[in-house]
Amino acid sequence: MNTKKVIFRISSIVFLSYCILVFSENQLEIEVRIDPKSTESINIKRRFLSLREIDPKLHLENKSQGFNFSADQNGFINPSGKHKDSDIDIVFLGGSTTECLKVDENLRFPYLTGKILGQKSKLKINTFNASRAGNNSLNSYVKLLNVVVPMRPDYAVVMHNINDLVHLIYTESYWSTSNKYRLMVSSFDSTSYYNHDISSFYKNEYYFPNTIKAIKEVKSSIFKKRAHDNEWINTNDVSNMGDTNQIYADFTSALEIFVHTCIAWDIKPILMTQQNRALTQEDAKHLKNKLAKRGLSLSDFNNIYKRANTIIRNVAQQNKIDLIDLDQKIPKTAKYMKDFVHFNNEGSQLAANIISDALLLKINTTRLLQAK
Amino acid sequence: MNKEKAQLFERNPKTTIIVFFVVVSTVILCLSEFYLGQSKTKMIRKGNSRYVDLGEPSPNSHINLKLDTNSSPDLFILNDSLEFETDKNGFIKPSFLKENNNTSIVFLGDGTTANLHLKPEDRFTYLTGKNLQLNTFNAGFPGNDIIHSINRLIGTIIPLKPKYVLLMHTLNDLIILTENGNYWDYEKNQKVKSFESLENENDFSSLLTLKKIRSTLFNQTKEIEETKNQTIKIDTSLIYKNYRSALLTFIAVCKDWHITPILMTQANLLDSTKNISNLLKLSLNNGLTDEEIIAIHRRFNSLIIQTAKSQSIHYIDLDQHLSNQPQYFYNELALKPEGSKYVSTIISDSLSIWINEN
Repeated sequence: MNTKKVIFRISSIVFLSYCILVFSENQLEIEVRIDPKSTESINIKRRFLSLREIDPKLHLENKSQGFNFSADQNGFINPSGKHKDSDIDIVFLGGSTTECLKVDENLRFPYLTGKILGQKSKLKINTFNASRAGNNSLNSYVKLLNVVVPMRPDYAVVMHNINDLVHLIYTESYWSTSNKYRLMVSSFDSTSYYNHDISSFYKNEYYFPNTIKAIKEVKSSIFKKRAHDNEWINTNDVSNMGDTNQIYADFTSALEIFVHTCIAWDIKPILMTQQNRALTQEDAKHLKNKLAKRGLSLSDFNNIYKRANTIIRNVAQQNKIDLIDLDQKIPKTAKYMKDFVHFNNEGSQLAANIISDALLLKINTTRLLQAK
Repeated sequence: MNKEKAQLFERNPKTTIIVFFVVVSTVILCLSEFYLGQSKTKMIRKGNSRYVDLGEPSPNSHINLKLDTNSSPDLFILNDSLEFETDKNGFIKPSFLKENNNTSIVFLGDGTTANLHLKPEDRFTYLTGKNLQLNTFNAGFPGNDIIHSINRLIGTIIPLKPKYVLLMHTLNDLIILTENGNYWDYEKNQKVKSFESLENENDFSSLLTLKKIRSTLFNQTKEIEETKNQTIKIDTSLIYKNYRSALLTFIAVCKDWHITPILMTQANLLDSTKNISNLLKLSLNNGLTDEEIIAIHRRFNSLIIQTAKSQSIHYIDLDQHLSNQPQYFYNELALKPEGSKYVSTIISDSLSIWINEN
């Protein structure tokens, strides 16, 4: 047989295989891609309120990174609720800064707080981590009303700031339909934690996912595209930044309903400001480009961020509820945070100590008042 | 042996090269996959994605159900068919829409607000808008309780920025709370559901299952009798506390988002009937006597007024205006067109005063 013909046929087979691979890749992409269209523009069968939580009973593991991540039947991140007959139940709500995905399982501050507090108070303390990366205050409110309130915990501790701001800056409303964190979903959407938040490292589970991912990373590095793992990065760009006062007003309202709903159901709400440190060059570079599209500078963003922490303090003060000021108490250094806002192991441990001290004071005060 | 191999290649050079290429490629791919997989996050167990049921009909729908009133008894199913339409926001049509007027009023509630048994133009939600020449929207739906309405408020109504939201919930909350003591454990109408259960769902699951219409009226009556023989201890103080908490939550959500909340008591014929009808009993699987049910309902209405007063918000006492006047009702709760018209007049009169005050 002619050598040229053999080469031609092999090349044809290789090309055909490549086409099949690309086609299957696209098909898989479509399956997990977030439809950016408004829910109003597609044929809706039914609408639901998105319960953005870790899928109940989900279990992920990464042995090489010593990483273990699982949720119980209520979507609380393990370890949660260790005691059967607890004296005090505390639920933590928030975004990735509370989720602590990359922090060692037993060092995540929601769990560690309960452990330390139990040792110090000699009480059986149950803590529940009800956070999820990307969640804003309204996402947490939905979880509060429909999952947390029925449990009637003693305390609900909430920490939100950057996700709300980025959401409101980029989409102008908590109800925007143009991003994957939207409050309303239809039967066409998947709200699964597996599909959304960890898609960057766990997507295309069939057909050589690791190799495809590696090829993609190489492709990204060649074309200078940075693979972002920050949960707010994929929000759509909107031009013409709206009124920042509206952002503050919406954030205040979202915090207020959290506080007032807790009070209505005899749950003690506790607000926490969000810890932070200086932006790294990489973060700053990316944020700068994104913010520029909204007519904002990094300095503007920093001011809005600081203002949001001030709003948290004001809402706590006006409603006469407890505040834990992590913004002030966590040193703004790389020793405690792996990036702008996310804890590393040391930071999470420090936060657990600060929170448990504050809660111990609260519990002891309550005990004294009850004794009187 | 070597000779045989050489012969194989000589005999089928194309096939041999292709097979060799495929085998080598597969081995390389598998090795790279295995190597890369060592640092990858693995899913040990897949979780169940969940959502919160809004208690709304599908938006942009035209629903026409043929019903068998014998096997599907319900206070609000008076004919052998039920037909209604919804708009893009899931509001039951018709909404009264007034051009160049930004003042919107949304009605939240259960079947007594939805009034699907009435002709669209006879529903008080529409008539109120017509009386006031303001935009009105009907966000009631059979089977809903206050928590459904709060979820709907959060998910779909706040972004529409209505000026007023009127809430009327009593009987469904009574049914749910007397059976479970709370709003979330009611098996037939759960708020949090798994996406896996979606296939078996339809818009009317809450309505139909709520009323237990799976069996015949005879069987249901027997079941009621059996339930009555059981001694069920109900903590009424807990029920009242939960009901008040739900009302307070609704008020807080409205106020915090700069919406004016208005509560309405539920008009009924319960007091004038010595015995609760079998139709209503189908919904009540709580072992309570008729007198107890009537007393709890009355107390719920009084809690609405107390809560409104304590929170300094407006309320409309439909119970006081319409209750125990049979000319306005088909049964204990379902309004006749005359009753609906009267309700719209009462609401319009109150709202016009409050709007003018502002």
